[in-house]
Amino acid sequence: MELEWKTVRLEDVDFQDTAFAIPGFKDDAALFRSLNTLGLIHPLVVWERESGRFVLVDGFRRMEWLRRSGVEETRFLVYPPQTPEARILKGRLEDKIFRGNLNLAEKVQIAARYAPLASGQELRRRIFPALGLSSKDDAVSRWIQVGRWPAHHRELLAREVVSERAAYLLASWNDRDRDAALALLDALRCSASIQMEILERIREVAVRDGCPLHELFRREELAAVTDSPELNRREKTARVRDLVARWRYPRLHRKTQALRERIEEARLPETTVLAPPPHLEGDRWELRLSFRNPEDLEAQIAWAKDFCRSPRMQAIWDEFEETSTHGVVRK
Amino acid sequence: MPIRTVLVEKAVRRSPLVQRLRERLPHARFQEVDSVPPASSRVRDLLEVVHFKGRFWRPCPGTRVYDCCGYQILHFGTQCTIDCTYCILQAYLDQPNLRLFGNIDDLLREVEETLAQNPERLHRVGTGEFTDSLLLDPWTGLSRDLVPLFARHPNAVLELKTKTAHVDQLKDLPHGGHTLISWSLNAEDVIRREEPRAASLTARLEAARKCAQWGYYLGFHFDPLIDYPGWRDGYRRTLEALFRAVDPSRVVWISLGAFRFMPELKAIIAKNHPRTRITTGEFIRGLDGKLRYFRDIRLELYAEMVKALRAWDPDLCVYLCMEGPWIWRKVLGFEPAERGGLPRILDDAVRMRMGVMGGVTSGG
Ligand code: SF4
Repeated sequence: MELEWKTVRLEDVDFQDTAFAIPGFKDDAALFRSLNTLGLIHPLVVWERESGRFVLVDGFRRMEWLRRSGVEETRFLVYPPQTPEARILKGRLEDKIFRGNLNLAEKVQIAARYAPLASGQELRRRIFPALGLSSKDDAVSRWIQVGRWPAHHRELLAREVVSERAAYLLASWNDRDRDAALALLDALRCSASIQMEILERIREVAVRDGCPLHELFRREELAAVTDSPELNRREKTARVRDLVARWRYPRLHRKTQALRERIEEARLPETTVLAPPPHLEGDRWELRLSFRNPEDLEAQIAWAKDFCRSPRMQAIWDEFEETSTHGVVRK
Repeated sequence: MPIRTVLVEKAVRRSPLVQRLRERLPHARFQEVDSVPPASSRVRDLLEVVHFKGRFWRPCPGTRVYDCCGYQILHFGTQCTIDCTYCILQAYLDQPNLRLFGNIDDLLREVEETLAQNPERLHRVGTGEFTDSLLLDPWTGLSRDLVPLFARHPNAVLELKTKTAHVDQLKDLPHGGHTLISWSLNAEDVIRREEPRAASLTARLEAARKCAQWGYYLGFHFDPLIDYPGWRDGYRRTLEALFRAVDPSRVVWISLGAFRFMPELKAIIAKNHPRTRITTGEFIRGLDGKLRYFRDIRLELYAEMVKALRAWDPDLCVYLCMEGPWIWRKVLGFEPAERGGLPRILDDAVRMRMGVMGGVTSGG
C-alpha cells in the first residue's frame, strides 16, 4: 500500500468530501501569493477511493489555488484504492501533529479525529502531549468536545478570539450558550484572564439564579455595551467587566460603589489617597500622602488631623460601617 | 451501614478495633493486605484500616489573622461518607476512602501521655476534624475507649462532633461530665441541599436531647452558615427547634462560622456536586487566602443568630469560628483579646458549664 505518483484530473477529485480536512481557518492570501511565485513545492495527496475517483487527503488550500488558477490536472501522491480509510486518516493526523505550527483549532480537531482511532492511554500519553494539550483528569474528553464544535466556533479558536482556557471552560456548554458567549468574546477581544473572569462570573450568576446562560449573555444591558458604536473594544471590556461584577456581587458592588462616592465627595487634596481595606476585609485602611519637602509634609499631616474629625471622614466611615444588619451591637 | 469490604493492614489485624469491626460487620468481607494501596477515586462501601505512624494528637491549624479556638485534635481516621457539598475532605484527593487507624492502643497511649505531661493545662480535645466523630462509632466502639479515658483525667474534655444521630452506644458510658457531644446544625433548606446524607435536623436534635438526658454536655456549631434567599427564616426555624429540644444549661458553647473555603475547593465542588449553588455567594479572598462572604453578609448572618441565642440564654458561650476581631467587635461587642483570647473564653466555658478544672457547674 505504497503511495504512488499519478497524474490526476482535478475534476476526478471529489471536493465535497472533507473526510480528511482539518481546517486551520488561516488566511489564504499569503499562501496563494507564494504559490503564484513559486508554484507547488510539496505534492498534494489523494486517495483513490474507487477506480478513477479521488478524495483529497492533504493540500486543501493548495487545491483551491489550483482550481482558481484553472489547472486541469497535476501530479498527486495517491493512496491506492485498497488502503483502509482509518490508516490514511491516522497518517494524515500524525503528519499534521509532527509538522507542528498548529493553531488551537487544528489541535482540537486532530484530537477529536484521533479519538476513535487510539486508546485512551495513547491519547493521554502520546497524542495530547505531542499536541501540547493537557491530558489531566477529564481534559481529554473536554478537548475532544471542543474539536467537535461547529466550524464557525472553531474558527474563533484559530483567530485567537477565544483563549485556550476559555475554550476549555466552554467545552461542555451547549451550542446555544456557547454561541452567545463567543459572540461576546468576539465583540471584546480581551485577554485570556479577562475572558475567564467574565465567563466564570456569568456562569456563576446563571447557577445562582437558575437562569439559562444564553439569556444572560443576551441581556439588554450587555447588548447596549457590546453594540455601542461610540465605545472602542477596551472601553467595552471595562464596562462589561463592571456590569458582570455588579451581577455577580450585587451587594459588594453597591457597597464599594457607595464608599467610592463618599470618598469622591470628600474632595481630598490631589496629594492624598484614602483607601478602605481591600475587598472591605479587615480593619486596615490606608491614607497615602505625597509631599515635596518637610514643610509640605507638616502641612499635610495637619490637614490629615483635621480631616479625621471632619464630617466628610465621618460620612465615609458611616458608609463603611453601615450594613443592613439587624441587631448588630454597636459600640 | 453499607460497608461491604474492610481492607485491613496486617500490622493491625489483631487490634481491638479490627476485632470489633469483625463482630459488628458480620456481612462485610475482610481482606488483609501488607499496606493499603493508594486510591485515586472513592469506593463508597470500602473501609480501610491502616497502621498509622504519625501523631494522633495535633493542634488545630489556626491562622494568624482570624481568631482560632485553640482546640486539640485527636486524629483517628480520615474521610466521611456523609458527603456534604462543602466538605474540605474532598480536597484530599490522594486518600478518598473511609480510613481508620487500627493501632488504637498507640492512640490511647499518646492521649494518656500528653494529658499527663501538662496536668495544669485544660485540654479541649475533639475528634471531628478529618472525619465525623460518630459516623462509624456504633461499629468501631471508639467512644467506649475515649469517653471513660477522658472521664479519668481532670484536666481534659472531649468533644465528639457529628451530623449523625449515632448516639445509642453512648448511653451507659461513664463520661464523668468530661465529654460533650456536639452537632453541626443548619437551616433545613441547607441540610436538604448541601448535607443530604446527614441526619435530619429533627434526628440530630432528638439525639442531642437523649445525650443531655444521659448527662452529657452539648455543643452546637452553626458552621457553615450559608447566605441564601430565605436564610433568616431558615435559621430562625432551626434555632426555634433547638430551643425546644434542649435546656440551654446543658450547652457548653455554640459556634458560628460563615461559609469559607480554599479557592481550590471550588472546582472540586463543581465537579462532585454540579447542582449546588453554594459557591455562588458573594465571596472575597480573605486575609488567610480563603474565600469568604464579604463582611456585611457575615455581619448580617452572625447578628441575627446572636440576637436569638442571647435571648435564649444570655450567659451562653457563643463564639465565632475563624473570624477577625473587627467582626467580633461588631457582632458580640468585644474582641477576644480583651478577654484573654478565644482559647481562654472556651476554657472558661468548660470551667463554668462543665465544672471541669475548678469551675462551678451552672446546670448539671
Ligand atoms: S459530616 Fe463533616 S466530615 Fe462528613 S462530609 Fe460533612 S462536613 Fe465532611
